[in-house]
Amino acid sequence: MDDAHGVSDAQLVAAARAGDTAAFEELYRRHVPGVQALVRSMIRDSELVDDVVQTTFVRAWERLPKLRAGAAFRVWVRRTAHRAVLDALRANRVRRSETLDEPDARDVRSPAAGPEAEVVGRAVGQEIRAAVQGLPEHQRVVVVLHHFDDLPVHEVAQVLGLPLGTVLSRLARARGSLRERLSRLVANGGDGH
Amino acid sequence: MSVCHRVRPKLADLAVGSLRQRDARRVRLHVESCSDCAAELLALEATGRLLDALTPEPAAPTLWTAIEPRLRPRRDRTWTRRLATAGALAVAVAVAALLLVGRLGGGGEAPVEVAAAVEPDAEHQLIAGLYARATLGRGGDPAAVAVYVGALPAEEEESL
Repeated sequence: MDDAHGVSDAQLVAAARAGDTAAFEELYRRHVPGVQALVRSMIRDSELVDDVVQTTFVRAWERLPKLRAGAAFRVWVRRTAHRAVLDALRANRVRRSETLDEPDARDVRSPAAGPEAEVVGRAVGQEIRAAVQGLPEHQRVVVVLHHFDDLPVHEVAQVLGLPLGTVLSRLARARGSLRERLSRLVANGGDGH
Repeated sequence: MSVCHRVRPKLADLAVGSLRQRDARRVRLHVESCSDCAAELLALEATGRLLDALTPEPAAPTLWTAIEPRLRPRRDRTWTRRLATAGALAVAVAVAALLLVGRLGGGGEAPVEVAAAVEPDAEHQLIAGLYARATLGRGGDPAAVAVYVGALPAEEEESL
């Protein structure tokens, strides 16, 4: 991933490995939305989501010297986040984000819930997020990583440690469910307007 | 069962690109001749476009301020590694020299004295293990080196 100034993740990883916290902060800035979305798709409690996101980046900083290919940071940090979630779940510290009839208030009402506002409109965005939140967790996670976070399916498989076929199958089942749930929007042509 | 009933469950797979080429070709062939299935496929593709329009929400600005103090400064490991290597070499040379002196002098107890002279820390154990393997490999006296081999921890032995 490059930013507008053309500095790649690999360059930032090299600097961060040498102890440059500013470089690591830039890596954090680039990847925290995706990491947070992944964590939130698995954990419901928003305070604990923040906890796990913090743990993820602290672990990433500590283990960065072990990352051989700096360009792989995008997948690596999300895999670190996924493991941090599983660790937290194993320790029974957090409540898993179960299928919800009512979407998480933070997803729907937060004023920040609007990066898509210019593309599909805030209300439509909220409706889509609510529908995704209603999916079973194993489908929700792949939808968030692939559609919201824009990861190719093979990278989703790497993050979750799943075979590619499993990821594609979950995406297909999720697509079928969402097509039903979002039928009103879909009937408008899928452009959200 | 009609063709539509068999094809319908595969439309979502076709939309996400998970069908094998041959299956995808069959499903497409049906879709071209069935307006209902064609409409369903279009709806599934439109759903994908809706999902693609969303992006992850931004993180709270306070999150980084909570993370930054937890980032411990990195140690410069270059010099510590060099010093460790130099130390290991010095110990190896010393051990080899003492053993040589012991053997030339005919003292059968020399290895024990050597073992006592060098602190049995991890570095020594590693060097001793290496020395033992090299000595035995060259047909050395197993009894003379046994004292070192016994001090070699299993996990380090595995990594050699």
